[in-house]
Amino acid sequence: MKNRYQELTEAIHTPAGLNDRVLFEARRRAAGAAASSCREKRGWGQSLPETGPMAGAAVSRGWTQPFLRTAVCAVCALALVLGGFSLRPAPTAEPGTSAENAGVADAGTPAQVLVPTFGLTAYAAMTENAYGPAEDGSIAFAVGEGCTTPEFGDFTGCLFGITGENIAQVKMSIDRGGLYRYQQRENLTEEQRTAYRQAMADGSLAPAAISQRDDGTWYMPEMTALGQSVQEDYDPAASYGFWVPAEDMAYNTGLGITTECQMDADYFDGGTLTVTVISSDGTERTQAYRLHSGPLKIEFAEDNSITVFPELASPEEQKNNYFIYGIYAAPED
Amino acid sequence: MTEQELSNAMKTYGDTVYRLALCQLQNAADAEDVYQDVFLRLLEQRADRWDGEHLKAWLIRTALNRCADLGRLRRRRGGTLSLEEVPDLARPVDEAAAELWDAVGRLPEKLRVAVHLFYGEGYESGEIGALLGVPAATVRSRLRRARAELRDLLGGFDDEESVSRADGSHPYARRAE
Repeated sequence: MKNRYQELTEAIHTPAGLNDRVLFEARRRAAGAAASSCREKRGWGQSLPETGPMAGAAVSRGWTQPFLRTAVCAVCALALVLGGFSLRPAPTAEPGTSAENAGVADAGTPAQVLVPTFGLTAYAAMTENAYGPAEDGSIAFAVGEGCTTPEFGDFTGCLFGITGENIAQVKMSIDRGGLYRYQQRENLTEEQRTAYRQAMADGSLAPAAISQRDDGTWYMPEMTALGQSVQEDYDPAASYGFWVPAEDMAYNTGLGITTECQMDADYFDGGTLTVTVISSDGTERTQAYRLHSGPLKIEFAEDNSITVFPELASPEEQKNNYFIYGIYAAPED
Repeated sequence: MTEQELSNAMKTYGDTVYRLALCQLQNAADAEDVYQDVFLRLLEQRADRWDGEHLKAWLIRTALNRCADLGRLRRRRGGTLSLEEVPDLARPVDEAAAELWDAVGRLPEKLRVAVHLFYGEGYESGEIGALLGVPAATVRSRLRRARAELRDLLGGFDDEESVSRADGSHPYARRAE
């Protein structure tokens, strides 16, 4: 026979969705730790070799892992190749071309049309920083803040944004897996936190960690699977990520969170991401990107930040665990 | 610890950690924070060789420490959490259970944790002493004081009957002395 207090406490159970949120946070931290492993395995706090591939990439002594987590995505001294709008004479409109949809005021007269140009920026959720592509337009997405659940699939945390001006709509498609939208919800009230917890509990919202900053404000990422293609109004604050459907993701393989994160990144290797931006007058510009995954080349800067490059680390760097696993996209002609 | 081991630990001991945090903090959101923090700390442990009792004891000690930390920060909040406010309760709340929960919630923190671990988790006073880092005699003293306070709060119930109603046959239905 149970005592009365035990009887009543046995009616209290862990709220639905809480375990998923813990696993989500664990996965997010594991992704950050994957980056730090390159330091730990090389002997953290020790000088880098004066010769070899790591020469000159000085690392300060006394780094701590939390700092590294912050620094991992505070990436890139690379020039940000932002999109803009170019005003230029319209080319001769031909059937099937985007110029066909451009606003041509008077046939026979070259019209001034808005041709949108754009670029991708990688988004580092852990530090809320964006960084841009290399000069050839290729761009690296380090595995970052993601979430995996059997119900929702793997939100890989490889995030990108679209930059430009006067873009009215964006259209994206991917030939494997899918995409998801990532929005950081800020300054959550108690009522909002309760509503989000309830939505996670009833399965209408992907589980995510609701966190509090030192200043007391609450925030959480909201992730929404979009499928293989999406067209929606342009929101410069929105980020998008690579999503692996539940039936295809690596889960409970026994290989550990870090390896499963890498397996899901590999799911996109060889895939194609197509991004189209549409201006308010209907003019479109499209760019296809070939996706590659693997251990990405990194460099440490003197300010202890890390640059992630859209190329694979060299065999020697890989041998020394001097890389960050992720996805990079190279523009196709 | 792997994700699978973490998941198993939450399935096995999650309720224990959550109930303890809820009892100590009297706030569902704070209890969830402690729960998350405790299991994320577990993930960093080399716990593969721990047996179940070792793991459970570690979780309880860590949860108590985190509750104490959070309690210091948020002590100003005060008040108790009624049983009706507890999320996802498995069955409807009867008046007697609600009164008992409320009465335990009003106990001073040190008495409350002793009551929860003794009556809710089935630990003996010596085991509770080991978890809390105090002598078993201190735990027994706290349980006596707790029962006295509960008797007042619950309007004169027999001290054993008010919380335990135990016959000793159930492993979790132990008495203090």
